[in-house]
Amino acid sequence: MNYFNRLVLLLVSLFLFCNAALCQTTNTPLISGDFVDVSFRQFVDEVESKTPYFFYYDSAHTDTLRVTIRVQEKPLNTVLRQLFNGKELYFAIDAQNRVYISKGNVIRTELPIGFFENTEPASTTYDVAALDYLEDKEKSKVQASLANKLYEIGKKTASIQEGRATISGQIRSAESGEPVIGALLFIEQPRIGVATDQLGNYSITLPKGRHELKIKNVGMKDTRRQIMLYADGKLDIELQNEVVALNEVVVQAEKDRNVTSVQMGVERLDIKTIKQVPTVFGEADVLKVVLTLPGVKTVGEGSNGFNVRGGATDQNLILFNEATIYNPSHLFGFFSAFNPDIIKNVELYKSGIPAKYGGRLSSVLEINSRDGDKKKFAGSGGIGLITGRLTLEGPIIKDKTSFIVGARSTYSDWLLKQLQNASFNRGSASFYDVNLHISHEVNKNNNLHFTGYLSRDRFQLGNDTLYGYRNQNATLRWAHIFNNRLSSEFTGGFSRYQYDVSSDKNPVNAYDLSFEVNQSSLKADFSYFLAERHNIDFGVSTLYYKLFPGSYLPKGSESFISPNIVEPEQALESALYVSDEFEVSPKLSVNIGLRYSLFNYLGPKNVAYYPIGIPKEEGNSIDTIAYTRGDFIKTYHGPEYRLSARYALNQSTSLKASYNKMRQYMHMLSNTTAISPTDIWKLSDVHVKPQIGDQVSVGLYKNFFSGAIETSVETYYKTMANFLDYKSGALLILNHHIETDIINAEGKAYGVEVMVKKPAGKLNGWMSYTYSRSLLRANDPVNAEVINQGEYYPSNFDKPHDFTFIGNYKFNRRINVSLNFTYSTGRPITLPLAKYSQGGAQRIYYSDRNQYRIPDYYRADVAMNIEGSHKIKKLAHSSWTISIYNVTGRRNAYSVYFTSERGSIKGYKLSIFGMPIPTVTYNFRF
Amino acid sequence: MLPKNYVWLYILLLFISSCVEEYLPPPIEAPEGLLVIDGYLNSGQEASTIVLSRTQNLADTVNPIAETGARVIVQSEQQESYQFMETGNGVYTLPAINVVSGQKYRLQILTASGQEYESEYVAVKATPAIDSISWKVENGGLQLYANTHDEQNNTWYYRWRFEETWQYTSAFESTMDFVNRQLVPRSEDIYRCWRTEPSTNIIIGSSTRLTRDVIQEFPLQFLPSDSEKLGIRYSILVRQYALSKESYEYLQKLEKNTENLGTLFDPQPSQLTGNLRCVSDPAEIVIGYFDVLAEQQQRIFIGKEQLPAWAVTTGYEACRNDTVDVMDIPPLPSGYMFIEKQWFYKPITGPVRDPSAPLFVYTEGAVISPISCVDCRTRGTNIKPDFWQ
Repeated sequence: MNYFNRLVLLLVSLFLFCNAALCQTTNTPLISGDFVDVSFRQFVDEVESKTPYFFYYDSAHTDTLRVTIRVQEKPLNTVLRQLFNGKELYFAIDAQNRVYISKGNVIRTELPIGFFENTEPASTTYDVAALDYLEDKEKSKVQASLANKLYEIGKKTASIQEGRATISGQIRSAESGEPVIGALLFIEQPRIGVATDQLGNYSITLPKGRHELKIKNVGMKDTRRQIMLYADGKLDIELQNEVVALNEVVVQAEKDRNVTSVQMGVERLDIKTIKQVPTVFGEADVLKVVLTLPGVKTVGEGSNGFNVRGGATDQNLILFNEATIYNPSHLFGFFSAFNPDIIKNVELYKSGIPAKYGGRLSSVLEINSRDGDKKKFAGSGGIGLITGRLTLEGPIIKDKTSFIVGARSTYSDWLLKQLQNASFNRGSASFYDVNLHISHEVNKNNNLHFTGYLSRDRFQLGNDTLYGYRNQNATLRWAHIFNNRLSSEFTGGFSRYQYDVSSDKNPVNAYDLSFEVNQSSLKADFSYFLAERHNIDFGVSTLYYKLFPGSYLPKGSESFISPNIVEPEQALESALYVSDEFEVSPKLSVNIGLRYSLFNYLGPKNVAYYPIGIPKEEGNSIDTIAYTRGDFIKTYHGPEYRLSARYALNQSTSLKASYNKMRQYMHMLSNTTAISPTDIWKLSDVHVKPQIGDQVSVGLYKNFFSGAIETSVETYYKTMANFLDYKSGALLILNHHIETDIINAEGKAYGVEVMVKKPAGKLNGWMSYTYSRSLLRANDPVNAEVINQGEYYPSNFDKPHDFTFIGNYKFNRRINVSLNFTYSTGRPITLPLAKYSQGGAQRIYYSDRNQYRIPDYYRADVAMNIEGSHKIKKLAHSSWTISIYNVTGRRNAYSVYFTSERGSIKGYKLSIFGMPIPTVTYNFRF
Repeated sequence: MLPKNYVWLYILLLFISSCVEEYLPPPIEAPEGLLVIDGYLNSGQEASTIVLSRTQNLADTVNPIAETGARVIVQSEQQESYQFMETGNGVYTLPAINVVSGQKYRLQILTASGQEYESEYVAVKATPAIDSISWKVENGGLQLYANTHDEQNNTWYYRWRFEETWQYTSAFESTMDFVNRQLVPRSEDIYRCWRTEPSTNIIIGSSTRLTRDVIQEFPLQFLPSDSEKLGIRYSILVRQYALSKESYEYLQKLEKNTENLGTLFDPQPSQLTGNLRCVSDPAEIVIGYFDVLAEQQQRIFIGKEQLPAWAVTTGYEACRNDTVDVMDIPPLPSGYMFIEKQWFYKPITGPVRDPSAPLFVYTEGAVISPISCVDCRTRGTNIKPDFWQ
């Protein structure tokens, strides 16, 4: 029987049962009589003749049964129960007074409400028998019938009361039991919708009465529930995974989110999309895909970090399961520090940043890992040219606790060995990262999540110097639901980033240089559903920073290095926020948010003070105050406004606007163009003011062909105050007076981002074009150095034109091909204009800063994914990814530099991937 | 030392398929020959020199174009003027003048093309004497230091320049010369020479980190143990100048801007503005910094015997000699010189008639070697400097 027929059958029977339920309210016929040792058949004939009941039975089951019973005005079920007591016979009576007699199994004439849920059903009690009965049946088919079943929510009342009521509950995957995050629940009339939170919980307030509640999510089958809402209540829903999607079920989840949500300037990528994009070493790379999004740029390929809408690389808050990641890259930026097998999705906020987030100026990149499978053990992994990875997941306590653990490591120094240069192929470079994520469901109102993360990089070249850096993170989250309206999440976390450089070749010079950032955080986030038109989020957070800005110590007893330790820094960054997503009218929704942040720079610390109004110089400090532990050296605080609004022009078109103000108290100090592992972080202090950013953004969103094609145009204008720039040749590490090398700059950035996206279908992908500028100016009279006569000049990542095409074509279920094309204007550089001789040496006269550009950048990559067969039951599923990075072999300039050779100065262009790079990766899962 | 040279970055250079190609920047509208002013007013007892030249395109290989025919004047706030005399090739000199401390001076230049330039007024700053030039054997070499202090706590910013002179010998001491087609004893010593080299790097230091104006062991120069300079005897003349803070900052920027050229992740270069400007065209950029400096100097000598027994790389390691038959002279291979006469066994060449005949003949020969291995004057001078002890 095919799926459709079975469905029809179920629907028909359900319809009948439904009628039955209604009929049950009529009077039940009663039985009276005196039976002495009659056969069952005789008993049946007697009952059928006196009552409307009609029996269905197998005489083989009953031919040994003799009936001896005396009854007076008893309902039939009482009679039969008495009759079958102690025998293996069961009966069932339906609303049409048909009686079914069976042996061994109970026949059910109706499905109990809440039949398929593990937890308490909406309005009836749990029915174990029914669950057991269906254990081996195909639940998914029944699932469809649930869509048509009427759920009564709240205490039933004779008539529908006026007003509204709130339904809350959890949405989970039917297969793994994992909560489904970001699933959309909505009704169409009136248009009210919510999405599930990080724990799959939702709460929606609707007018009382009958509704059709629709549920949608990525990778899940769309479903719906018929509800009769009497009062507040719970409704948990399980969604079917997408295995069924192979049978041409088009998943249309979040199809209209870009148009309907108030949020703007956000990009969401799920791991499936990320995995389709070709990368240089064949391994799916979160950050490299983020770089293809409009408004995101990088200084060059193979450099760490990214720039969002004209912001610096340190202005991005990178959260991995709520833990701050300070260095998101491995191996000089060629790999991102996130294992693709662990990741569920990635969200990048470029504007309209929710009040919940703060501390960085330009963007929030949220990387979420998957929960482990709660029902069965599974694993996946892959082997590429450089790395191998393995992920295992499964239940610790079935349906309650699950784990997922992933590890990734370089398995050879293959790369370095390929190099002809002896100093390189004697070197080594390696990295690894380990992720552990445990989720535990204490009960339906309490969930615990633990995430641990460690990444480590080490590299040593032919010489003796050993470099290494490490990210360590741990977070514990407790999600608690107070009631249908109020839910909360408490998070405690710890992040550490450290690097060390050491050398012990020459024992006299052996040293150990290290830097470390420690960050402990506590936060509480609440979601309160005030009414169906108000959704209030509020919370409080505090961060404690402890920085060891540099220590340079002798290594070994023979070393003569004199210790040089820069005083540790500590600070507290706290914030309070509240935001209200308010539906003013069906057309207009606004989100009004306010975040108030407070920063305390704490002792102990010796702080130098300088005369006001003149450049700070090491020599001109007028006083040094020694603060002791617990002293509040400097406090900064201020409001951060987060406003956004959406106006729906029609069903498929909306206009959005947002304004947000951000404050940043933690800065990365780097006067190189790309992030290097020896860049350091610095807290705001007496001299380093917090960076403040303001952004106004307006966008138009339109979907065509009922969401098959999404288009958007967003424009923004942004200003940044107290942007950090440095004096020429400032030495940033081990600098005890870093304030004397910093100059205050201000920045402005503006641009237009146009995006056309086809999220699904045989051919899918996106195309984006960005025109943007990012300009800086250092004209503070207190600056010791004036750059470009105090005029605006392009920042290092000012690349006005940027075009990206990401396309994927599925030839069939097993083969798909991706093409990636990127074009951007070359980044600005400062060129030497002339040379001259002074004091007997040749010197160079430079142009104004960043007045020239390196040649334009373009690159095309292709990749082919070949999947194994799609049998569900299979020992292991495998796939191959074959990709060619930089197909055209264009020698894109990474950098242009000038060096003096035999009295004349020559220019050189360095390309990193100057030829096509083919790679093969084998992936598997079991 | 700090890991300042981010060695790891070089991995980028050679990472897999990376490649470096020569790159010609787009035609840059380089300002045509900016005026470069190099020099200072010596407030001591010596003459002052100002060199005027023009900037060149990066690709130029010729010497910078000298700015000739200019009128160069220093002027005090009291309007006393002193004109420099052109000594040719863009070099202008002024004999020692009575520079009054407490006065301020500025430089004025009128070029032949009529453009007028001037500097800001610069105060006269006295330079304290050099306390000592000290040295230590460390880190596998010789480290030289400057030590000085200012009792008045008034100097704070210092600049040093130095001239190194060292004695050396060529690979082979030649006793014979070839004069009038005759081998004659050599009259001139071309074996022992001296070479002098000025410092080209900017060496500046400051005592502002300290509570007193003291410079102790400021590293001036490091010579690795195999330096040719340490072969026989080494001398260094250190000149010390007190700088103004502005001048110090200018030099600091210039140093950081242009002395570590070529590493990829150098800090951003910045445009330098000195204290000179073009009066007739304020938009025109002038390169240089005018300063009034007083010089203090000190010389020390270091002999080989004061140092550990280091093996010095002389640069003559590749030299070989050869012996030729005096009868065959000439010809002498071009570029060769005679070292001495020497008897030697000369192989007999030509067709062999008698198998019992000897293979060699003992004859008078002359040892020869390339000029660069014999004549030390190719690298320096054989005239003993006046100061040499």
